[in-house]
Amino acid sequence: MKSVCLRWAGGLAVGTALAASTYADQLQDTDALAWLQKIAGAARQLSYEGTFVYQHGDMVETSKIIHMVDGASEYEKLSTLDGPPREVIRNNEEVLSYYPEIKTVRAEKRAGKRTFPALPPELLTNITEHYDVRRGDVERVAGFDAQALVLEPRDGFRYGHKFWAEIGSGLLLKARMFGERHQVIEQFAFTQLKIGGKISLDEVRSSYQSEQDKWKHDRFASNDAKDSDSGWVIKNQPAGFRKVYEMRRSKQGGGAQLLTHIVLTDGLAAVSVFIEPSSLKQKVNEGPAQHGAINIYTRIVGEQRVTVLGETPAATVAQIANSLAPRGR
Amino acid sequence: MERISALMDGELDDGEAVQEFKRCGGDATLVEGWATYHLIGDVLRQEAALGTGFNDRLREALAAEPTVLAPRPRNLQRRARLFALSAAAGIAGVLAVGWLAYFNHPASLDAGAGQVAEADSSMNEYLVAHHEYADSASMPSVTPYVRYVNEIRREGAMSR
Repeated sequence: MKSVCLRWAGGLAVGTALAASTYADQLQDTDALAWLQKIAGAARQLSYEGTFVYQHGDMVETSKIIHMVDGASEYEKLSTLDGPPREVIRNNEEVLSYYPEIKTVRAEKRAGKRTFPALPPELLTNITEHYDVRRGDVERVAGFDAQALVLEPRDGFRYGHKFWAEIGSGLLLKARMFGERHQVIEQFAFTQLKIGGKISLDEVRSSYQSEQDKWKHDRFASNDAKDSDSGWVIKNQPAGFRKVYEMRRSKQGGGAQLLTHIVLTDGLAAVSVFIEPSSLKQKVNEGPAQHGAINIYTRIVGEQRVTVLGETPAATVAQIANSLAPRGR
Repeated sequence: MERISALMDGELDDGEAVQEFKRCGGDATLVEGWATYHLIGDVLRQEAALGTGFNDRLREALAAEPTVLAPRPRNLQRRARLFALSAAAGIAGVLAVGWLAYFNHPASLDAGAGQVAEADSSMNEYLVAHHEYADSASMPSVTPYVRYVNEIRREGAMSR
């Protein structure tokens, strides 16, 4: 009798708990979306400086970042703290990369302002369509209280993510990317950070400013040709991925040869498609390859070398590469 | 009633027990007796007593209870997978406690693709361009340009 009664009570309790948690999850979904918006804006709209660790593949790297916002202008200085010294100075859409041991500056300027100060609503909708977004616990990262968010992919074309955002500002303090078996593929975390406070322009200038005039300057320009398309189509695009850039850009080492670069994203994971004439001199390794958290797939289509790469499972880049074709064929 | 008592004490053989259960089924007095003997047993063993007539009271209480219209769990399978994810995250979280110790002995992170060729140097330019443009076209899953600055470490002396 007693056991019958306990089972009854237990059943009722489980039923009630299930109903309550379903309701709570639905509430959390809208809440989690607000967090995504907050994270997307924070990295660009806040001033901060800190040191972070980044791990991908078997590489672990430490760098320092200073990010300063002055009205509508964004300045950023990134410097590596281990390995070869590198410095990236960014002012809005202009990026200067310094390679001190070979006295070279690489300058890239984009045509048009195409970065997003806030997450566009359609990208947000795309994220929720293809990932299950949930709020996790509040945890401590780099001395701050951080809200955890879990983004679980709804299919095999993308990886899962876990974000830890500073509870007040939404700045991303830590992030992990998970593979198909929930193994960690890439992680990033601040180990020391200061949010806000006054940052002067001098702090976001290059340390090599006084000597850079004597250095070699490599200039790159990209021409965003989204409206005038490259003549290539992806016939079997993996669900959720949409084209955000299509451009022709100059190649490293100069020359008249141009490279087509198409960028697709599902709102979170980005895939790049590169198309250029395959030269007879250079041997091309067709098929899949890997680089840290990135999967790559290379194919020769006619006279062209097609390379697709991104922070996605191998199946995603392979499907895009195998369905790329010149329009009308 | 003696036979009920004997049934409770396990003194009847299988055939007799089956017969006794059948008899109980049709006789409310015997069922009540069965419950009373159990109650006596519980009290003697000092276990919580539900009192006689508990069955009837439970039935009445259930009948009076409003029907709970619980929404169906949206996707049990997804729920299970999420649980697996948070379990994995829990384990990873333990590893993160020894963040520096862990990074001093970096185990190769498994990208899950098995034995796939490592990208050759002809990919460098693509990788740099990818990080420069693609990361800023999406929701930042790491701080913008983090992947970029780490990519250009490998560029340089050898490729120029």
